[in-house]
Amino acid sequence: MFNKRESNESEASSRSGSDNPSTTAHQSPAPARSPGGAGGAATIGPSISIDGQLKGEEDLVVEGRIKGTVELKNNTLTVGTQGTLDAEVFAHTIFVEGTVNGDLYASERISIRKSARIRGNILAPRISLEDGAKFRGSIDMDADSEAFRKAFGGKPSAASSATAKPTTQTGAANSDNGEKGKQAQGAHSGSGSPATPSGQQSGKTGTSAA
Amino acid sequence: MSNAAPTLAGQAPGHSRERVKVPLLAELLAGGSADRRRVWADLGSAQSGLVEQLTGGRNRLIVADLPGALANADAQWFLPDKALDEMFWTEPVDCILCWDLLNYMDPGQLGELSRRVGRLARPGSSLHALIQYSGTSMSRFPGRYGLDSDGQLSVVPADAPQTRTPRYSPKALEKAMPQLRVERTMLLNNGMQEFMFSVR
Repeated sequence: MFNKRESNESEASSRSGSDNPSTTAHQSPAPARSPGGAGGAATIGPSISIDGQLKGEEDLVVEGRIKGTVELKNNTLTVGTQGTLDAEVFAHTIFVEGTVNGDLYASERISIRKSARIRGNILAPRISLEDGAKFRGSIDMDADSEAFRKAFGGKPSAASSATAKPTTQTGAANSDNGEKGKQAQGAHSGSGSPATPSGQQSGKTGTSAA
Repeated sequence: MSNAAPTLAGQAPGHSRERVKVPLLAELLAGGSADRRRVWADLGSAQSGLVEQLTGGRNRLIVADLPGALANADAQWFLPDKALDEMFWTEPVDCILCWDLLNYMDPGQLGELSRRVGRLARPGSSLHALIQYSGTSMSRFPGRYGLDSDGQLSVVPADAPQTRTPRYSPKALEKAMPQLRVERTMLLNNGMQEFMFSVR
């Protein structure tokens, strides 16, 4: 399903809106494997939580927690069985096996597995849902809809517009609360699992936790 | 989302699946023009068959999952705009699917649902319901309903104790739900009755 590649994550750590942003980040000796079987893609492990904006140019498996925005416009995002997103997501293809609270936009396809728990709006031209999935929200399959055009159509799509914004450095803008808080990015590494290298911002080729 | 009635989430062990033809639903799904956007609201739980059926067209499907709210013992489980807050009801609904759920509402709850539906749906839009007709007992929780690729419904009763069916008549439903008018009914071979209501 995915190309095998080394994890190339960089996560900047801070707590959005916190007075005392922590900036811990760690190097992972090897990419974590997805229990869901989507091995090979960059992986955010179960102990990692990210609060902010995450974007990249490679496939990503999330087994940790993300709050904010995820942009993988040309790639596949898999929310693994342990993954929890409280986020707005823009991707080419999205597989959900875990928990999502937020809106999902895919230019190609969204696949909801039976273990998924979703509350939010999802929008893609092709959507599949396995019986047993818990879903509450709306599923928009109308590629001519205004919402779809806003997300992917026209020149600067919502996703690309957001991508064009300069990303905030780790710990910066944390004094801004509310909406601006979402722009303040960082990763907060939990305990017990190897994590990824300390990096203020993402590498150019890697998935960024900006 | 619920621990109270886990069998609602999937196939109920020990309960056989039955399949039933639903002619009025088939007409509803086949209706509408391909180039017109249609907004559907399924008051039941998410199901693969309906998503497959609507994919490829200009459709938006809102899933309120009222059985999930009922299983969670939410006192307002029967109100779609409580189960699913306003951010999801951003445009008027054209077709509402309400399979088995009306059996679990008393007349007061039916009236409240009717008022909410009147607010959420366009005048003239359709509400398709399945009501217990001939059976005198039913599971305490709604069963699991799924649309098959051949247009039939698969029904799996919930694995729960039995309770009495209200056996609402068309007149009783119209009286309890003044915002809805019964357009057509059809008796199904599993003892349920298929209703097509129109929103006044």
